[in-house]
Amino acid sequence: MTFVEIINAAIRERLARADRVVCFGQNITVASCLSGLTRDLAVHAGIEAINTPNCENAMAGFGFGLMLEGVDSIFFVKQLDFLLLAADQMVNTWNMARQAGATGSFTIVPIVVDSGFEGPQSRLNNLADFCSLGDFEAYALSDANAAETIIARHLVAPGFRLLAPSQRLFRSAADQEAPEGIDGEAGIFKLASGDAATVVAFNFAWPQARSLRAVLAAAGHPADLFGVAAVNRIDWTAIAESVARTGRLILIDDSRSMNRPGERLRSALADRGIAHRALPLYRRIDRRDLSPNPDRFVLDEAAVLEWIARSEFSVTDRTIGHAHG
Amino acid sequence: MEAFETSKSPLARDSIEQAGEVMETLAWEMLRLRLSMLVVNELVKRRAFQVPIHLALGHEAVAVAVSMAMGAHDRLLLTHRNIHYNIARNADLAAEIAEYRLERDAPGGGRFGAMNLIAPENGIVYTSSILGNCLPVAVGVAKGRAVKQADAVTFAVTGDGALEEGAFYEALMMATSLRLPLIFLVENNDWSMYTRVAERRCALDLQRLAEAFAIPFRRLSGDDAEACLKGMTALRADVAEAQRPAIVEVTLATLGDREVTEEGKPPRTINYHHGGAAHISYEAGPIIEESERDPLYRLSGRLPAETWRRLVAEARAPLDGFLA
Ligand SMILES: Cc1ncc(C[n+]2csc(CCOP(=O)(O)OP(=O)(O)O)c2C)c(N)n1
Ligand SMILES: [Mg+2]
Repeated sequence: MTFVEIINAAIRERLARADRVVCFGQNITVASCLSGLTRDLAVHAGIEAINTPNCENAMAGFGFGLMLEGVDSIFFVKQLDFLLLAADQMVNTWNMARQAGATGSFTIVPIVVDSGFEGPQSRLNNLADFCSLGDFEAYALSDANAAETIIARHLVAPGFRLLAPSQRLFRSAADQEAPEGIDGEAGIFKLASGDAATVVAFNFAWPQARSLRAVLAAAGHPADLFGVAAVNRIDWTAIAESVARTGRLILIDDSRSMNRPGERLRSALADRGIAHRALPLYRRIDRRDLSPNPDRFVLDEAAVLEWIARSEFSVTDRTIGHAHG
Repeated sequence: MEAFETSKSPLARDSIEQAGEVMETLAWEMLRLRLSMLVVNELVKRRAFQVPIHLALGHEAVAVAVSMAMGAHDRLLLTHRNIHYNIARNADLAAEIAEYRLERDAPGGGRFGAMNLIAPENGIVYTSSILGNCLPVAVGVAKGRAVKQADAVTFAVTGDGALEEGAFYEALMMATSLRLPLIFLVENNDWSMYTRVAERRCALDLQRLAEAFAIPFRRLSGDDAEACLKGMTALRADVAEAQRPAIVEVTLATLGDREVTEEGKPPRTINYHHGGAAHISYEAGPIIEESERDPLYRLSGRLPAETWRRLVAEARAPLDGFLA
C-alpha cells in the first residue's frame, strides 16, 4: 500500500467506529477524491460526505458551528496554503468555542503540498506557524505507522486540531518499520535505539532522519531516533532522558517556519540542566524557494559523521539548503 | 452545551392574532429592554465596567421581534453589538450586569466580557467581536441543528459594516448551497464606527443579492415594533417551511448621536458607536426622542395613554434599584 492509501484506510477505519460525522471539503467525493485521501468516506449511514463550494473561511466557521452543536466534523483541504483564508475562524472562533465549552470534534485535514514545483504560493510546509497563532493541536503525518496511531486517536475526539499529511510522500511505499515505542498521545514516536546520539525529526523530515540514522549505524554510531509528529503540547521527557544518556542531540526540521519545536526542546533541556552538544539541521529559509524547484531537504550526512567523531564540546548551528538546480 | 433547549419565547407564535394581548406583551418587552439599556448606560457613565459596551438604543424592536419569533429549539448568533438580544432573551438584568462586571457567579462566569457575550440557555450560542465572523459559524450551527433533526431556525445578526466582509458572501453561498434554515439579519444603522455607508462604500442592494441567490428578502423598519414582530414571525415560519436561508434588512437608527456646532462651521452629527451616551438618561426615559426614529415613541402612540403609563411604571419598578 502507498502512504495515502494507508491514511485513507485509517480514516475510514476511524469513521466506521464513529456514530455520526459530517465530512466536508471541495471535491472530496469526486474524481481522484483528493489523490485518494478522501475516497469512500461514507462508510455507514451516519457519515455524511459533502462537496462544498470554494469558501474556506465559511467552511472553517461551519466546522466550529457544528462543534458548538456537539456534532463532529472533518474538513478536508486540498492544500495547506488555502487555510490562510480561514485563519480568522481557526484562531478567533476556536478561542470562543473552547471558552464556551463546545463539545464536538472538529478536525481539519490539509494536505501539505510540498513538491516544490507548485510555485511561490505553495510554500507553507509546516503547522507550527498556525498552531502558534491559535494554540491548537496539530500533527504532521509523514510516517505510515505513526499516522495510523494519530488518526485513530485524534481524528474524532472533542476539540479542534489539524492532521496534515505530506503530499510528497503520498505515493511512497508505506513500508517503514514499526516504531519501537509509540506515544501517540504525546505525538512523539521512538523509531530506533542507540547510544551514539539522539536524533529527533520534526515536521515531515522523518525520511531524512531515518536515512541519517542508517548512515550513522553503518559507521558504528547507532543513535536513538525520535519522530515528533506534534507541534504543540509536547512532553519532552522521553527525549530528555535520551539526551541525558547520549550527550548528543541532532535536530532535523524541514519546515519553512521560524517557529521551530526543536528550539523549544533545547530550552526544555537547558531548564533541566542536561549537558549536551546540539546539531540543529534546519531548512534555510530564503527567497530562492519562491521559484519552482525540487524543494529537496538534503542532509550532509558526512558532515554529521564528522561532528559525531569530534570530541570537543561545542554547539554548532547549521542550516541546510536544498538543491536549486 | 448539548442538552439545552430554549423556552424563553414569551409568546407562542400562533397566538399572534390576539392583537391586544400581543401589543401589550410587545410594549412590555420593548419597555423592559429600553429601560434596562438605560440602566446600563447610567452604569457605563459611572464607569462601573471595564469591558467596552456597545449599547443598542433604537434597536429594541428588532431584538424583541427576534426573541418573540424564536422557537424553542432556535439559535441566535450575534456581534459586538449584542446587548439588546441578550437582554431581550434574558429577563434577569442583574445577571447581565454581573457578566459585564466579570463576576464569577454570573451565568457565563464573567468569562466572555461584553463583545462576546453568549447565553446558551437562551439560544444565544455564539457571539463574535470580529466583523462577519459569526456568519460562517451560524451556517455550521444551522447544519448541526439539521443533523440532530431539531425543528429549528438559526438567526445570524450582522451590521451594514460587517456585511462588507467576505465572510458574509461565503456564508450566504454555503447556507444556500446546503439549503439550511438560516436567517441573515442585517441591522442597517448606516454607520460603521464613524463613517456612513455613503462615506465608505458603494451602495449594496441586498434585495438583488438575495435574488441572485434565489432566496427571499424582507425589509423591515426598525422603528416599527409591530411590523418587525409580524415580519420576523412570518419569515421564520417561511424559512422553517422551505428549509433554505433568507435575508432580512432592518433599517434603524442607533440613538445616542448628537449634533454639535462649532463656531464658523456647519453643524455636524457625532454618531453613537459605543460607551456611555452622555446626554441620555434613565430618568428622562423611556422615550429618547419624540421622533419616528425612536421605536418606543412610535409604539407609545399605538397604545391607550393609560396603558402606556401603567406599563412604564411596571417596567421601571424592578429597575430603579440598580441605580440606588
Ligand atoms: C474584522 C474586523 N474589522 C474591524 C473591526 C472594527 N470594528 C468594530 S465595530 C465596527 C463597525 C461595524 O459596523 P456594523 O457592522 O454596521 O455594526 P454597528 O457597530 O453599526 O452596529 C468596526 C469597523 C472589527 N471588529 N472586526
Ligand atoms: Mg452599522
